[in-house]
Amino acid sequence: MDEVLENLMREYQRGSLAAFEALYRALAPRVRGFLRARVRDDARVTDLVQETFLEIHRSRRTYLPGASVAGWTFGIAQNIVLRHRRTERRHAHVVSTDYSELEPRASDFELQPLQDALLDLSPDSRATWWMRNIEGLSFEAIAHRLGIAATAVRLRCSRASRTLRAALERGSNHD
Amino acid sequence: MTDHDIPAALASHVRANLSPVRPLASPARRLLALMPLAALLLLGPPLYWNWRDNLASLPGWTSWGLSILESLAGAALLGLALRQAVPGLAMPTRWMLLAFGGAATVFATVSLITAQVLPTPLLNPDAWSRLAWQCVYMELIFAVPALVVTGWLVARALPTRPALTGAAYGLAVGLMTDAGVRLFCWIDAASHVFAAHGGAILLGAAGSAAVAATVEKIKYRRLQ
Repeated sequence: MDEVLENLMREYQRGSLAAFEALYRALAPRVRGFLRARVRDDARVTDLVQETFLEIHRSRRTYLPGASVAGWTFGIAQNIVLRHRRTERRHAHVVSTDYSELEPRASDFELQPLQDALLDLSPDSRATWWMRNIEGLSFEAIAHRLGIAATAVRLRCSRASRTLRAALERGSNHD
Repeated sequence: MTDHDIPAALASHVRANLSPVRPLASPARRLLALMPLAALLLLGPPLYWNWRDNLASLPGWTSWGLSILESLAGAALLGLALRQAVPGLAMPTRWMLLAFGGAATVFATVSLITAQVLPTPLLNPDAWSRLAWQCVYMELIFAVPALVVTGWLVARALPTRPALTGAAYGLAVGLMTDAGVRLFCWIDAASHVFAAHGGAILLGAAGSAAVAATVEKIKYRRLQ
């Protein structure tokens, strides 16, 4: 298994997208398990898995041929966890004061199902979606405010929108 | 969505930035590449500012021997710092702190042995602070360019604990520079060596820790 991963990693360093996809499939569940043991919030774990793979992509040159791919990946995941903790401490006031307690009123939208669906999102996803779609902030501005990567904001927004869409579709099917 | 499906945004980001990369050299190879720098830090200060007046009175093992020992201790710590910067190779924090303790012990032992073998107390106490600042300044003149080079090598990797890694390479460069400065500075009084030479090492370590942490923050923001 290690040898297979090492070969995939070498291919990936040479620029192979197929190798990245194979690495993602092999490592994402293990990265998720690693992160889940360190971060309690499941929605946050999903974000961090994606951030870990973003960082893996940016730092792919730091993999030393012959080293354990899993060890390197978990090293990056650990980096992400520590960065996440630092960011969380720094931005705690933004998230907790402004967004985690957010309770959108139906009158804000006149759409009760959307309100319910929003409340089902994790506080982080809700904050990101809110800043993007209600406050109209750019991905970069949200990234700056939350202290995370803009690509992570894009991922988070797209997942929140997908979840909201699914919740609204479920709601309309019940009606 | 399962872990087998790559999120579309991630896939498109990877696809858009998938140029081939050259893997980083191993920490041992990068340390070897830095050996000329270690030699420069050992020989540069005495060659540039002249050898200490009382060098001939010191037995070879206390002058060259202890300087080489201090330089090697610095190189070993630098190797650890370069290793610390590579994901998956980082050592536990307590091991790094143990290495810091080892570096401090080497510095203290070298200084105390030299003072024991050839005590050279400061004859004019009024000159204490002037001479101390001179040594700090002279040590930093050589240390700062070396810190920039090692800091750049560390920044090319991805240190998990940048401040700890920065402190490690700062301490390492400090030890290597002191190994050269002690061949120039003729004062062995503990108060001078620990305050001035030790102070310069600590200043370099603290500065490098702050710089490494800041560089990682900037790298992270620039990648957004």
